[in-house]
Amino acid sequence: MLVLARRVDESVMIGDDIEVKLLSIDVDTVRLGIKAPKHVVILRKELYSQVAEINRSAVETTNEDIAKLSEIL
Amino acid sequence: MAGQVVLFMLLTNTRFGDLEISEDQIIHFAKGIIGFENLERFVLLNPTEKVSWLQSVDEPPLAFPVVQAPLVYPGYSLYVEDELLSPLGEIDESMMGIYLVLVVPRDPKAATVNLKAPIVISFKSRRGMQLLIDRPEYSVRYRVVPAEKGA
Repeated sequence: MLVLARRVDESVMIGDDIEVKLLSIDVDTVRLGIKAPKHVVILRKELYSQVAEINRSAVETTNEDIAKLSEIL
Repeated sequence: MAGQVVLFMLLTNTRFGDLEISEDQIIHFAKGIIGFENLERFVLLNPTEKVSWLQSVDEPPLAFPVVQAPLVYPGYSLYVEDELLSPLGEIDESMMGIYLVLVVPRDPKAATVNLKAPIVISFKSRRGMQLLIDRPEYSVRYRVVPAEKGA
């Protein structure tokens, strides 16, 4: 992982098209501004883990439980 | 009639036993499903029934129960720029499916769908993807059976 130090209002360029700017610092939280082409996906990382976890439990659903659900949907 | 070869495959060891599928049923997920990025080929079983299955072709024991979004959340919208759907290639709005991943615990009344991560399929290009929509009003565990119905 590349580690860079930035002050407020300073930016990092990733490739030619992506800019990450440090907007503000507040005790334990920083605000980042990100400029990127529209096709680039930008998301909070923990959302990926959460969705992966949910997909994993979905795959474990039993046929019986689905049958019971179909009856009441 | 011009010769056309359609490949049939037998998936063994699925949760439905042996399953015969045809090549033209296969939907390609270039990036797989989140957490299962290696699974690139799926078929959609029962696409118009209440509960459908996204059945993996690459790993037959794996299938994801899904439900059509409008069935459980009328007015469900993707809220994204078209560019984020570019992995789907050619899109025809009349040939698209938006499915939500279902999690059903022992009590079916507590079943939920993940509104933040729909499965979007273009039937025209036969490609699919799991899209992430980080909107606060979309819960990752949205109950599909209204409370009154379950009471």
